[in-house]
Amino acid sequence: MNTSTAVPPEVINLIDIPQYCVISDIEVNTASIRTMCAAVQNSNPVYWDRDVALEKMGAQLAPASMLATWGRPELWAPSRDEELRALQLHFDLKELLNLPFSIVASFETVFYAPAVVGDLLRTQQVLKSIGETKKTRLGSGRFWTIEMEYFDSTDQLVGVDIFNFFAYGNQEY
Amino acid sequence: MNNLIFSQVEVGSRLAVLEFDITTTVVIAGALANRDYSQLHHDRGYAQEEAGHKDIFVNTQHQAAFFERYLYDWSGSLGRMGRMNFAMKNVVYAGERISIEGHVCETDIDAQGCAWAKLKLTLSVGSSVSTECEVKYALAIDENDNPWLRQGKDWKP
Repeated sequence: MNTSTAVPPEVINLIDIPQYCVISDIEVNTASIRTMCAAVQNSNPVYWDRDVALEKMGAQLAPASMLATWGRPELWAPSRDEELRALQLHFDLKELLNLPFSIVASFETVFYAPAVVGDLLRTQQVLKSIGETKKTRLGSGRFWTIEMEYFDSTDQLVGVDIFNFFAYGNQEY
Repeated sequence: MNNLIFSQVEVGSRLAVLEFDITTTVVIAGALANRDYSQLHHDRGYAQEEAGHKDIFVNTQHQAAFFERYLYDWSGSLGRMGRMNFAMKNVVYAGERISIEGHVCETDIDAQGCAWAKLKLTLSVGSSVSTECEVKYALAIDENDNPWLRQGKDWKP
């Protein structure tokens, strides 16, 4: 059992340093956009009719709420042996701190630029902060904040997902 | 199609309620559309027997898409999300019927001339609120404005 309340240096050293900087393996695409719009019955013609999109927006854009879609890895790829997870840095922290369970305490997304059909976004994960040991009704653990940043192919910031996690264990931490 | 103009919006005004049946197919379609392959969103056996849930449930981005659709119904195509935050209190299971409600809590025109409405939205099952959401949402300031064309220093979400 880890009884120390100090954050290990290998975790401190991650703060504000981008991790897992990768170019997505899927383009922003109309098939995914239409499936999403169909699942919520979003009739916005900008997402269904290319001509309307070009006339109104000057390009075919994805719904802002689909931002995370364009940064998620495929289940499998021929060049990989292991399954990649969407927010690997979070899982790394859980392992480094021996905190096997977690919840998303809050979640915020800021939308800076539209994701354009055909583009491949680049993503990176950044640990922004890690809190002191805290005891909650779930157990003892720590809060931390990770930002998932999305850039387009011109390096323009498209958006940022901000996750506040609480990770905890079964035992006194 | 509705094209809401900023001057038509008042603080306190309420948006029409949206109701929607969350079928099993809807849960799976939404999760796969946003490429979330967690078994919690498509594998009933896993959700019930391994994870202790009543059924598979709607994932986070799928809920965000419901809120975006809700705001589109209100504003038309020119409405644009700047910022959205969530607090999820309960999950939404397959087989449940959701209702989404919202109201305008603040309006503002920023230094760049962009018109914003801040809204509070809720997604509920019956009388129980499952998710609370706050959105900073840009609206056309007049018939000639299109918030989607704002970029760089003219777009400060």
